[in-house]
Amino acid sequence: MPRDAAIAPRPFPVLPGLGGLVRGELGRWLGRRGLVHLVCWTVITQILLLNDTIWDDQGLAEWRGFDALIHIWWVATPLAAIAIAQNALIEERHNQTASWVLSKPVSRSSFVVAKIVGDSLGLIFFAILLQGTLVYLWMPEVTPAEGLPIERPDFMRFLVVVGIHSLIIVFFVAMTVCLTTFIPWRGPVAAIGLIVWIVMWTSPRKEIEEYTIGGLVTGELGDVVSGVYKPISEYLIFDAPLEPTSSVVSTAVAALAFTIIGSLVFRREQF
Amino acid sequence: MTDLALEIHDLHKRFGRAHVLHSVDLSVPADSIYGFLGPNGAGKSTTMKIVMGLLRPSGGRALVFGEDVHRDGVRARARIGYLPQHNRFHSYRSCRDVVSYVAHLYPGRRSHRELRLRVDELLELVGLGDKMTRKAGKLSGGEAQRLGIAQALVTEPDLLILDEPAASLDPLGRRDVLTLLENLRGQATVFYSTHILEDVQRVSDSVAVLADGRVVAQGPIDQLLQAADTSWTVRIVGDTTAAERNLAAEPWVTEIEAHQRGEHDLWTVRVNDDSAADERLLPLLVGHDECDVIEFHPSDKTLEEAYLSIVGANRAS
Repeated sequence: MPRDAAIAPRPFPVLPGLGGLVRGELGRWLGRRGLVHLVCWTVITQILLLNDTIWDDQGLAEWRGFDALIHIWWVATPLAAIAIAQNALIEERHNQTASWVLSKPVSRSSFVVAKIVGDSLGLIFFAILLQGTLVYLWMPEVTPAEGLPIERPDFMRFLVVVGIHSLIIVFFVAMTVCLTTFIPWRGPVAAIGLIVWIVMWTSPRKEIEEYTIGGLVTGELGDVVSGVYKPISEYLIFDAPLEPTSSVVSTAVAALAFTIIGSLVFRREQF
Repeated sequence: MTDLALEIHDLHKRFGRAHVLHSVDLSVPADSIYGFLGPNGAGKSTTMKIVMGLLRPSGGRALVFGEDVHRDGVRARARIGYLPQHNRFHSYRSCRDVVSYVAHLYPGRRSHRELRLRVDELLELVGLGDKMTRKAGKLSGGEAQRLGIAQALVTEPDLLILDEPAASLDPLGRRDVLTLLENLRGQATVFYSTHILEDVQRVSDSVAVLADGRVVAQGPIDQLLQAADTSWTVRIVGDTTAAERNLAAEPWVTEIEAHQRGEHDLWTVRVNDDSAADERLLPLLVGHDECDVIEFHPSDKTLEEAYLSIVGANRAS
């Protein structure tokens, strides 16, 4: 860095250092972590769907096709989001690398946002985008062992579903990272995240709507065990309207709120 | 434009009831090599961490090239390269990745090729040329220290803040670090803490001494050496018992350090009154028939003596 250039005043971005921090977080996904996720998500998604759709003629007929993909995503991705995000800040604190990174020209908010963005993007890529693309390509090309061929859904609708599930991941990652700014232990953070996930999974949508602004999008996917189609599956497979869209907005707002709260709390931490 | 790289005014830090820093004032001139001395627990690392924005001050402020580190820490840190006392890097990154990662956290764009060359050059410079692809988690303490120095230098900062840069290095590594610091003279300001007084005397222009959270002395090294007790070297042969007893009885003699060297004794006599010693020390020694003085001269003052007398005086008060 030329010294004269350094002396001259330069405008600093709102989140200084965010680019470098996110780049560093994403770089981690290119190594062993990425390989582990690639293998795990391929086994969970592709093998399970192949089994349900083609090989197992005793499989649950009502879960066949893209509805099954949506169920797998809803069950597995929030758990993975909690597992990854509960370690993000705690690991940096425990290994004393947080103080090293924060001694560089980065803001505390950038540090928290980079954790949320980095972990969310990594998980979205390996669990949603990669697996979704594969499923979208192969599933309509095969004939199930039992029942009618699966139709390829409208691409734009499929993109919306991918977006909603990506938002669910961002929500859980932001919530968990926010919790770690208050609680410095992995166990309690993971337990709280798990409780939120179970409550959303088991609570009927109307009850969730009573306690949230517009109902979180995750609430729409409750009542999995009954086996009936959920609003998102109906939207994708039967071209039904997506209702209520306010729940998508409220989930995004909640994720943003967790990010802001986490950043504010982390700014007070001393190293 | 300020001529001071770092200014600290009336800095206080409390951890609960413990008052760790008491009204610390420091002025580090730009382009100087400034040693920060003090015993363990004096508050050196705490001061540095406040400058780096890792700790909040309980009072006072610190300025880096005129920028308040508390109000505009990011802008201030953009001009600093920092080596913490305990080096911890992401264990999953290679040495090359650690240094590149740090470079990407600073403002300003560099081409991939340019950065790669700079990173490799630095790793060669600190002696990690053959370990560029080794994971940081697999480095020894000394290697991690070398990597810490490389990452602090990667953006060619205007101010280097190094917390114990020679700690955990072997003598060769220590020599390399000192040479590196000397080579930075005129290119950057170096503010570093250490316990190795010999190193400070070799490379620093100025020093500050921190004891119990207070700056008890600061200034150019020559000025600080004036504060040291004067000592005299005496080589003496024979029965020295009476001579030593007489000398120790004088009020201006603070300490007699005696070592046996073959047939003669080598004494270091510390005094707190130069003129009294000048007039009376030699007559007191030669007035004994049982012993002969074969060498007698004032010793060179060392920073260690200055440091011990400053810290000692502070503890006594």
